[in-house]
Amino acid sequence: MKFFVDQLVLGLTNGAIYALIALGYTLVYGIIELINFAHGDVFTVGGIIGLTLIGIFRLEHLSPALLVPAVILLFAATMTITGFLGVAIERLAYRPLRNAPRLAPLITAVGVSFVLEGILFMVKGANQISYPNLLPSGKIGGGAFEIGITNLIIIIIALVLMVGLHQFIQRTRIGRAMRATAQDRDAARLMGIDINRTIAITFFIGSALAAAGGIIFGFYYQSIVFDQGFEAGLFAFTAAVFGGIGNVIGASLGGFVIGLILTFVAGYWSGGLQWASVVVFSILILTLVFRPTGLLGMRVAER
Amino acid sequence: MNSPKLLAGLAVTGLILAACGGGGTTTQTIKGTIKIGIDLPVTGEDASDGLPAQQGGKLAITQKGKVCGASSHADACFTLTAFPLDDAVNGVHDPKQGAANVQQFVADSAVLGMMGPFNSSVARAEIPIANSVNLTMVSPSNTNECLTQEPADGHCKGQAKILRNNSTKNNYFRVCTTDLIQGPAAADYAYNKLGKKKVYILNDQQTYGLGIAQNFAKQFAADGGTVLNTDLGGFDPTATTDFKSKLTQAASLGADVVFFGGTTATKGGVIRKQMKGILDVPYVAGDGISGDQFLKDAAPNAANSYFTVAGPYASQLPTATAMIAAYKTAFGTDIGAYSAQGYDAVGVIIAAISRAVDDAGGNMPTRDQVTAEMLKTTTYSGAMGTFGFDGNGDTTLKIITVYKWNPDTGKSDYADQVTVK
Amino acid sequence: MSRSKGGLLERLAQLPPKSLRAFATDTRVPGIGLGLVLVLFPLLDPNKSHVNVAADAGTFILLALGLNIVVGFAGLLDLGYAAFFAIGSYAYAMLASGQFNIHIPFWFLLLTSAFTAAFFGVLLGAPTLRLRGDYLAIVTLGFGEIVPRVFKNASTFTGGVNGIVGLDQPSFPHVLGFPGYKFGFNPVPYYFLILAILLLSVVLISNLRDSRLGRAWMAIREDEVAAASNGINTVTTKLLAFAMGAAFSGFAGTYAASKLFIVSPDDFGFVVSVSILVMIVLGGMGNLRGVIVGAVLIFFIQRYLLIQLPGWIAALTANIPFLASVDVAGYVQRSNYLIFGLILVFTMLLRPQGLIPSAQRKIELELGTTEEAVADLRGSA
Repeated sequence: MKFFVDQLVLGLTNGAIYALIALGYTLVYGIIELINFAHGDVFTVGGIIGLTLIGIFRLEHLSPALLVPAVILLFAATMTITGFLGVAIERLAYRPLRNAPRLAPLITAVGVSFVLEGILFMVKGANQISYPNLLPSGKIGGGAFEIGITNLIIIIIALVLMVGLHQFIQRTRIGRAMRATAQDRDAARLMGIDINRTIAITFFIGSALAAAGGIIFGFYYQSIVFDQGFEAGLFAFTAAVFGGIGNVIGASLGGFVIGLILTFVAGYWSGGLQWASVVVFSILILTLVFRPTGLLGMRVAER
Repeated sequence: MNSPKLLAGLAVTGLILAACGGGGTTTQTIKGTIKIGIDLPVTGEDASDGLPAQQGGKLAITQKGKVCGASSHADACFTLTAFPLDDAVNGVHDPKQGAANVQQFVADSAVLGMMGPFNSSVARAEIPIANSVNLTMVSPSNTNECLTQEPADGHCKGQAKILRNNSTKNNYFRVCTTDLIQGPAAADYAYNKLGKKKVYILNDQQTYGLGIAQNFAKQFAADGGTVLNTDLGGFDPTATTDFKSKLTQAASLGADVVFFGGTTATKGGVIRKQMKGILDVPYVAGDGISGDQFLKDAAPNAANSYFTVAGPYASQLPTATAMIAAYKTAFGTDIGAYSAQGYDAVGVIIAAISRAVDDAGGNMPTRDQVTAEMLKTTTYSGAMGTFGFDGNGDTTLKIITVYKWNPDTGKSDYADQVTVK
Repeated sequence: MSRSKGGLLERLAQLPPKSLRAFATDTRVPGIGLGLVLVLFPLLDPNKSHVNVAADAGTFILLALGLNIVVGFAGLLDLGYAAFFAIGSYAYAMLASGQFNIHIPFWFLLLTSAFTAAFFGVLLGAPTLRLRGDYLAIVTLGFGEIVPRVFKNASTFTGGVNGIVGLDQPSFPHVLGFPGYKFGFNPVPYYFLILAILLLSVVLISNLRDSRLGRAWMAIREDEVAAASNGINTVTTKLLAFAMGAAFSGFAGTYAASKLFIVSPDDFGFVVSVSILVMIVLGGMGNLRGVIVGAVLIFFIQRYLLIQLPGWIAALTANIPFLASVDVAGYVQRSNYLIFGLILVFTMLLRPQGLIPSAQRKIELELGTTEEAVADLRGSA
């Protein structure tokens, strides 16, 4: 029982990270129908920006009393900076190709992914980079239900961000503009919605959420490496597809499901660690083949 | 590489040579140039291991400067030059690039021997090509046993023979001992010296990592210990970031030591770091985690980590003192984990060439003559001590050193030394 | 569909005269001069290692030509092309080595491995080619990640991490008084072999391009809906592109594996797939000459420039006080990913037709899609 609870908590923590990345895929795909291959690398860049800020402001050595507001500020600053990175990528690489043949933005997205990875590789090298955990460690609860405080906080942060995003999209004017643009870009334009601005905001939000995922990843695993966004991005994309691409709740759900699958495959199957990624990629292909709309997906027109 | 420091080192060694040669009576004539190929990964992830080995080899060549006949034709000399190549593509060692590099050595008739490669997977691509023209290869670091021999249990499936194209001639040698010795030495240390009885194993699913894990597991069980996971915990180093799930499993099984087969580049340090709070027991691995990067990756949980190196403790060997000093003068850094191996690998080739010059009657020897002399090497005195090669091309110097990482000093401390026969 | 298939067979039937014409017009002449240089190269350059490099480059040219069918002709983004290369390599390794003690002759496997790879292309393509183009990209990406891992983990059949060692090398048998000839590790025969394969491939592919099937691919690439409404069976046509692309990587796999003497699962990663994509994007999607030039350029950058450049820069900056403290050489050494990425992004933004554009593709990419290809197809039907 204890082993099961342990695995469940680990899986949900992993899932929280994948869910935060998956949201960015799903938002961008929902609005411009582009698989943003660079999104996984935006996640890594977010983690590195967070690490840089921690270094500059020496947050590791802060007194515990100041740590809570400092970590909140850290998230806010990192998410803002990374959000603008996402906007810049959209403006420079994707917008000029919005009306080009479909192949062009896809290839560009692969290119942007390599540019981001390439810059990180050039500057930071191929080695693991150490990351501090600013979240409190230790355990709460007892017996079989003893769980790590870090894990609990990570799951809570992710849930707060997800609920916040959902409310934002449902309740605000910008959220409504995003939904309208996703449904029918031309009609939205006719209704006076600034399409470019709405798309830019979508990239901002997606990238900011990935950055939050990057910091959480750093805190949790205490190390980060230049190319982790490739696999993490693919896992998260699988989560988005599994949940139903374009669907925010689906992506969150998908993220947790993929996290749990990865963890349980590793924990319960003796050869699991070496097959875990094969299992996830197979889920990706099978979902796309048999149920391209995913669990809760919206209808995507064939093109 | 062409730094002023190296030139300074050259000047110093040149003076020494001049001083030593002063007493000679014979007039030496330079009859040509002999090149020694060096193929190692010197860029990217593997550079921290490959570069110190390459520099060790270059040091041996610049110190000698030339090679003359060993006895009967001591007046016939050849200028020695290094022909260094890099087998890393996109920052990672690449068997195809290694094969292409060996083709370069093969195509250059002045190349009579090569030092390298670093990685066992590259060696498998290179040995057949070099073997087809009988070009001597000496690796500073390949520990995978299947490259040279067929252990009694047959787990190598005749690879050594296939790699030599089913021919009986052998052209491949190594100056480090094999994982058949290294893995069991680590197991003995964990069981006897650390007193651990239940091991949980992880390996990176690479030639080296899986091989050393298998050899560790066999000996640990033979010692009387329990191997908790018979699948040896293979994982995919590019895709796996989360080891916590496996480590939780290990903890629930009651592991009191973890063995890792793999390298720092394949997450050896990351695993150690993630053990904190889940499984606070000692960590044992092979020479793959001997680089400094391990301390950075594993911090703040690097303490209580042990590793083995397939060679003697060079920093304290009297035979290595001169080499270590010369290395520092030439390159401005301390020796790396494989510098002494690289130095001796080249040194033993030069010694064989020297005897081959005699065999060739004072002329440029053939590759066959050099390889024949290599096979006769029984007592070569190098920085690591006196060694020779057995019939498979494996070194007779079967010494394993155990080190313990010390996060406080940022260095590894000597823990134990095991000599087999 | 039966109609367009018939068209292909017709084309293949009249291959020789048509192919010569196509090839002559395609490469124009300095073609003959270039051909002479290529044939005489091993005799002119006494250093066999240069021949060896050229023989290795040939593998990538072949791969680029194959991927060009999928991406350049049919407009389908395949991000896991290295998987088919792996399948071709392993197919040869398992059927011509001591692994299962099967030793089928190289020449036979060279042909059949193309079918093996094509078979897997169909296997993956059949269920997925109905999907939108971008889904296809991600499916192939996933496939490209799965295949090498399966080869690595299924060690009973594939030798696992160690791969398969000791593959049979090509040889000419001793028949009818001809003395036999073994390729061994001599790069020269491999060079002539890949040269012949490439020549044949270029002829075959340029015929395919000009065939009814080729025009159907271009029609689909430009406007799938319009193509379908003109009676093209889009799924089958796309499947054929996928299968043919895979077939060429099967060729490449057999050739490369037999030349290297070993296969190992670590040589077929995503970066291989992307390198090949970079080759065709840079050279010019859809244009054979462009693709070949792109492949040679990227191969040169990867295997020579990026390896040599850091050394030159280190020597250059060592004496400049300002730069000596900065690890410029190190940055250059680690610039490969960035260079690939920049090539992809800037080519797409500034010159989507590549260095040597195909005339047709240039119009499309600059002006957006037109009905022209469909009209063209309709006219010739």
